[in-house]
Amino acid sequence: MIDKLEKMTAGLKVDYYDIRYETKQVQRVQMNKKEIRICDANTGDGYVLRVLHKGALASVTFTRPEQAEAAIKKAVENAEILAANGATPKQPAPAPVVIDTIKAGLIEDPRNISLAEKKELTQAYSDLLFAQPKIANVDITYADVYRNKFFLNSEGSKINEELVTTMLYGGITAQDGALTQPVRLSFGGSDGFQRVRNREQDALKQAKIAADLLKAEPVKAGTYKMILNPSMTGVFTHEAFGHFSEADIVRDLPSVRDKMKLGTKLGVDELNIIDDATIPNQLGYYRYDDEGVAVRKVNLMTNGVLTGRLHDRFTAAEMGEAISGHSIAEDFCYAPIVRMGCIFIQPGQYSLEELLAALEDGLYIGDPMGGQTTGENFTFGAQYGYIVKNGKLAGMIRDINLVGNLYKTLLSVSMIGKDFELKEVGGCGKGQTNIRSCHGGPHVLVNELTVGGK
Amino acid sequence: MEKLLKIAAANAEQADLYYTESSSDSIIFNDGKLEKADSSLSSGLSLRIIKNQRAGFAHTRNLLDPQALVKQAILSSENGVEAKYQLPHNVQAQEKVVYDPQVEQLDKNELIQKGNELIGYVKARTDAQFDLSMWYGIGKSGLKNTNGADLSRIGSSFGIFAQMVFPGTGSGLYTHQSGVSPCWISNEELDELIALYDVCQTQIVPPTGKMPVIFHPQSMHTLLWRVVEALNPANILSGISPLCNREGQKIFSEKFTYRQNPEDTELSSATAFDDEGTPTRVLYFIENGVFKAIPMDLFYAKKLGKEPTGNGFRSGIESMPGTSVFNTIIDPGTKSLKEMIASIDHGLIVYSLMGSALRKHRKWRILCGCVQRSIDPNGKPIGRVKDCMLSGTSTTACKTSWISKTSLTIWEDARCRPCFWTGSA
Repeated sequence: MIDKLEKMTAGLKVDYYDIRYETKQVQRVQMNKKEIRICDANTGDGYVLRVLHKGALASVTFTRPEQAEAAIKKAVENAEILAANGATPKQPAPAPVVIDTIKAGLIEDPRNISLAEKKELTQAYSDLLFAQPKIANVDITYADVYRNKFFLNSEGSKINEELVTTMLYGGITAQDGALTQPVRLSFGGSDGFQRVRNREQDALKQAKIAADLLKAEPVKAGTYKMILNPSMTGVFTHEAFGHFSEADIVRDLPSVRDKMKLGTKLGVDELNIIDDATIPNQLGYYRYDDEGVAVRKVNLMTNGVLTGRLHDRFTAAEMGEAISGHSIAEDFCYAPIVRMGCIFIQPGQYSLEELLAALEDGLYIGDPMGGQTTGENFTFGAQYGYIVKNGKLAGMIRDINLVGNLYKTLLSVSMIGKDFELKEVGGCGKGQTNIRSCHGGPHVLVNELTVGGK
Repeated sequence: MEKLLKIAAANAEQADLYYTESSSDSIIFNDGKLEKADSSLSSGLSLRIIKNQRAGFAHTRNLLDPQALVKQAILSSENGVEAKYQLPHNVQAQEKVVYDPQVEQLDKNELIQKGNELIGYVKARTDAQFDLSMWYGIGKSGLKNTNGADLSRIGSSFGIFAQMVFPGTGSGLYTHQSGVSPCWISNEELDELIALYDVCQTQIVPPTGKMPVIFHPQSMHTLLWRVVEALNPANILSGISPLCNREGQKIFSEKFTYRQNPEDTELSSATAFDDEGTPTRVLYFIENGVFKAIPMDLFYAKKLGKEPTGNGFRSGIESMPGTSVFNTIIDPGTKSLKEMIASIDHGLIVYSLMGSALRKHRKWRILCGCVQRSIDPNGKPIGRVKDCMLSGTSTTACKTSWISKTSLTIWEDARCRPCFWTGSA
């Protein structure tokens, strides 16, 4: 395929170009209330061309090889239009030339499992969950995504990398009369089909939470001292902090640049935040980004001080910082943008028991149910939680929404747990969906966050 | 494609073929500077077959082997999505109702020049960060089935989005226009945005408690997501929609009428047929507060024992048809936005909702943290509310006191009106 890409771009006379062709095979089984709604296996493919011409960077996506000539013409025209109209000149930061082939590291390859077996597995989870007390509905989806990416650039890099993502996710709804309570489940990862096998106990735990929520009290609105569980810690780290570590966002928001200047102390001394997509076997693993740059571990915050940022080659050059390999596209329909790989708060030294003892009275906040930010403000839903009294989990609470401010919260972290969990199914939606966006962390005690409710 | 459909017909009882071809362009200015000019050329097709009352599905962007695609669809049907419905018979049409050839003639240089003029207008009046983006394109799609359906449509779209960013944040005030034809943001709209931006420099901390809330069309549109989820036949069939078994009941204020109008060609989703070939229709979901109708595609119509309503749409070639509402409208009320503001002593105007998608549709609960204006006792906005959470349910919000007589087009396919509501902040 690399040969075809070379032929396709042979006549291209520009300062720099890169072209990515990829195939994407998706197998899905989706069930809604015990019925199959989707069961298919499909392949899509397409091309993304970027050209740097007269100092301007333009991209074109196209789906058929016979469109290549028109796409090249359009990309060059777009670059010329940008240059002629005073677009800020761009250049890529220097990056090593790479020639490499990366096969997906899989324990059990989902491509070797039949669609019928995937359907049986999905049905088995659905049946198991429906058999539990008070469970009124189960929506469950199995999916595996195989991306085979071929990357070529004008500097001589030629990379073929495979990425395989396996996931099983859905919603479980418990019902008692007019009251219903949903809880989510999600298993999966980047290292194979075994991630979704034998997870019955995890599924049952979620069903029990849903049923228990029917007896839970709605949380009372107010400001609380609280412990965030690892999953909620991960959402906070990703949504509230992580996006402000993405260089394109900082670049596009001049007023944020000062606040997010490297060297600025924004968090408490104990707080270390890292993005490390190189950790093997976690959801966000990859070797090269969609600019052909090897991804590296980035210490984003060290002892509360901003120490790093996530870059593509162009933001790195513009800001005079080191490339990091974080230019990622959802698939062949998109040009890459700066994305997190695997972001987390580094574990501290305290057990959950020690955090609960230090909390005394407050809230324990469980798994997230969505999250959103506008600027430094964030709102996260939680699937469940508990009131904490005298350092012990007391009654379960429901209908929890957290609202807060990034900068205040970073300074409000008081203790960091020594446990550590990473998310198994991703779905960051920064313009494009990144199903391998991974986040997590330990339990964290926060001195003050606002909870909405009655 | 004829060959593909022929192969499919030989291997299944029914089949339909959906195909698309589109080209699109975008221009982005960031902080007043030209940043991006990108393009996309896209095409593909999907095949649905029905065999032994089971549906199978396959799609491709490059049809190299029709036989293999049919095989894929058959494999999918063997694993079983129930399909006891009939695909529409003998519907034939070529639609061009949401197409403006001007979009094909647009010159990127001219658009950039116009964008620069707009930026110049704003920069002369404020030093706020001003972002601007434009996008436009032409889309062709078609549907053929083994029962004789042969439909095609061509559509155009154009959108423009302008935002003033609050310092130190990524959030801001925005306005936008979109439709079938090239459109623009007027100086009057920019003046209003700039004036509001100036007011927002003052930050207000509202008291905790119940107070009147006006939902601006932008936030009302978001609020309606919960209602749309409740209308979804999948949620009704599952028994988890709060509208389950409540057809004919009065649930909302009698001032609230929510409907779809496929014939409103100012909205770019206007169409006479859905993506399954079923004729679309005017549908009142909520009429004067009474729950009237469930939108349905072929699958859910059969499951619920009702007639399909022409609401079977696809989000692209990668997806089977699913139920969607489109070209939706809230019918107008009697007061203008100004009159609504003047009628309350103090309260909030919600311009945008953050986190409103988080909660659970069965309760239609809304909780949001971004409320933009506070109103003083004299009926004027006095500042921007920050770090605020608004709590309530969509049901409550739709038991609205008033609905404005003014309207605003939201994105391509929905019109919303400002609504007035008492909630807590």
